[in-house]
Amino acid sequence: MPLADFLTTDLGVFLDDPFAVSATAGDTTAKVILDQPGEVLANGMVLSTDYTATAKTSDFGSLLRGDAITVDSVNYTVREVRPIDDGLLVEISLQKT
Amino acid sequence: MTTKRESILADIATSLAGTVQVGSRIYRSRVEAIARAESPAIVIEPISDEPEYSLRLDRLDWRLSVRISVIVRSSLPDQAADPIVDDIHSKITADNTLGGYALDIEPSTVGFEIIEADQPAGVISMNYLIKYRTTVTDLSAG
Repeated sequence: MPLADFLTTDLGVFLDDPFAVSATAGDTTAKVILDQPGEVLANGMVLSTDYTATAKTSDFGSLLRGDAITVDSVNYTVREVRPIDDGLLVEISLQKT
Repeated sequence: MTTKRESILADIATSLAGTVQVGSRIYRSRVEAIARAESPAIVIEPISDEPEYSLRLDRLDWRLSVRISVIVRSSLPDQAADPIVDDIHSKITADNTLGGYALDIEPSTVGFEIIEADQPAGVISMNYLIKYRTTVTDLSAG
């Protein structure tokens, strides 16, 4: 199988152990990669954490602002969902509930 | 000796003690960012101070620009900050002499910055022009 076909049909390799964690939104439970770097905003006035989950679009691409999602047993609320690259994966910006 | 400028800034910080929702999170010229768990908070900082000769030539009339920033976290940051802003303004204008150091206080621009963060954040900047007088040779007297 060509590499491109492999990557397209088996996106799970991007979201596999040991870096992935389990996420649940509604009836869907699937693996995501959670990043949580700190960031300084508002000309240095506000310290925030940029919680971002990378997931398959087919799993969590339909989430909307305000939807609830649990990532690695922690409750979050969706801020926004952005397709990345070819749109098969999404980045989900989160805020801790 | 302490300059009148410093005395004014210290008096502002003292007078804001007990501001609603803020508790002890009132900071002078804090340079570190405010974390979510530290909000709401107030930061007091001088912006500029401009002198001009008074009609009495042995005196300087100063215009000290002070910014009081209210940092809040809420889905509606400006609304969440409103009672804090109201309380700050009442406390600042309750004594136009700021403990006897100032001649007058003039409210100036209020700025609003609403930011996407791990919980929406707001920075409401309340600016005041504070007029005070010193002698030409001594910033603590006059």
